[in-house]
Amino acid sequence: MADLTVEISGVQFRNPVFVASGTFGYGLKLKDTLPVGSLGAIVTKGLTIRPKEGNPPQRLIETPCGLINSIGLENIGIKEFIKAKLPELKKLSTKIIVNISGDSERDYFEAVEIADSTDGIDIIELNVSCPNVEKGGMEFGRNPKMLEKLVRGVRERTRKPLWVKITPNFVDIVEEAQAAVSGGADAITAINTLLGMHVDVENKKFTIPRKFGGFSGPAIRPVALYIVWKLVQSVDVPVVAIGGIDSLNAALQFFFVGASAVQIGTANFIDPRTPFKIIEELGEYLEINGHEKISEIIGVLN
Amino acid sequence: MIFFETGTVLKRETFDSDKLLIKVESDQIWQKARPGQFVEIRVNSRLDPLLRRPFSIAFTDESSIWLLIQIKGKGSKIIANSSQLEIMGPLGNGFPELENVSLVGGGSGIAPLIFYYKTYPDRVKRVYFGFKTKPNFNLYKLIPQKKLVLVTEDGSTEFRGLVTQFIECKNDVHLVCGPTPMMKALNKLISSDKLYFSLESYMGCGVGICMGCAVRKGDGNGYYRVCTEGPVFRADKILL
Repeated sequence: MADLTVEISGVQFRNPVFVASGTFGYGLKLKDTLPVGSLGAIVTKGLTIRPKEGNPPQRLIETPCGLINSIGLENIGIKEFIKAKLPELKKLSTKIIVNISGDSERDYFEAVEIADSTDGIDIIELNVSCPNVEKGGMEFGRNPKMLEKLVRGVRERTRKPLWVKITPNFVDIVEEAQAAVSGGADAITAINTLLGMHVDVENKKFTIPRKFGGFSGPAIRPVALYIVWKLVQSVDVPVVAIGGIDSLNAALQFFFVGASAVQIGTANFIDPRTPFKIIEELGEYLEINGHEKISEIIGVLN
Repeated sequence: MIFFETGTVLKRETFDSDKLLIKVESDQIWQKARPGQFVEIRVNSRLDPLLRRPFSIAFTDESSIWLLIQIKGKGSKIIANSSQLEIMGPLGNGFPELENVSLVGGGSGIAPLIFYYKTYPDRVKRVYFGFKTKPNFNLYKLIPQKKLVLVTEDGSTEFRGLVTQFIECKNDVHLVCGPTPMMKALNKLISSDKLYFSLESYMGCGVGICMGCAVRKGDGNGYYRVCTEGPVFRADKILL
């Protein structure tokens, strides 16, 4: 059996296939149906210091090979997550990455301090790239100076590995990633959703009440692949890839250009078995092609 | 436990001008499904349309399930014409199992109510189904004439008008599935603790992981997910 383990920011993962934030709930919903413990990691639904009710419906609309969402970070809050969900999650033999978001620096800091002092949280993934909230979210990601300051403040408050999930919207993403690294990020997760819009022609209105949302799915994969490749060339920390990965072929494209791991997002909605299939097929692929370790195929193209 | 099955379409019957009743072979889902639960069907493997489509289970037979497919757009059209379907289910919570209930359905919303009747015929006092015009499909094959009040807007059946005009025992529990205006009309007619609505919603995943199918909670604070906390809700628990 080929060795699928990877080490990123000092954490050892059983394989490099994770489920992305916001696309697998809190990780427990499907535990009776799928072997969730066999995932490389579970990235939780974006958590905030206070619970958030999210945006009014309609929250979703599909487009050719893609999906626009406007969930608005609906979540139970990090304290309730730790009380109600984490004890079950800890029993799984997978790594737990909490995705943290906030309206202000203070919100981020408070949530990070709580996460830092909690056993069973392996990594903190800072979400500075949600397009679906009024304040905070993407506002941090689009301003490199603000981002560096935020990440530095967070870095001072935690010893846990810190990843920053960045936005492909508005800015030079390399500059954004470098700002996160200067602030103390141990790895970069890229990309969060692109901004997207859909119009309901029959009723002459915006399909989503907030007018625009986050665009994801296989349709954005080439954009994500380009950005991941570019980041791998430009930053000194590992890059965790996300963006339209729905198959072994798609995952391999990201590994070849240097992604240290991949996150499966929208594909979970079409078939929640997708990440498990990719893990299995990745092992087979390595065997068939005479590789002993996953590391042998990471970054073979530059 | 959710099952993933690929089933051959065994039968396809015209229901009315835009609906089909299809029978699909099933290994596990038919045995586990309860009235009010639904399945998610993959449209194709080409990612366009991207998302699965949710359909209530209309009833089950030995090793098969029946679905009422309304052709609304590209996805449902492809599903209606497929000879094999990739099905995930059963999903959501079904109707509560109560005695002396009446069933009220409109359009494709009759599907989960047929399943309720076929599962608990003795618990059902009356069935009210409303359509624009009389369906080609003979519903009396599924529900006896003495219990089924078939209402049509154009008067092509004995009862002309809207289902809400024909409700007799307003103090009974009513299990409902149909268009929002129908549910709103019933909300005015029947006490909300005696009304259960099965909701339709634009869904992402169908299994509670995307938070896409939100419905306002009755107290106005926050949302339920239609797929996992529903699709059946007591009327006072939600805001339509």
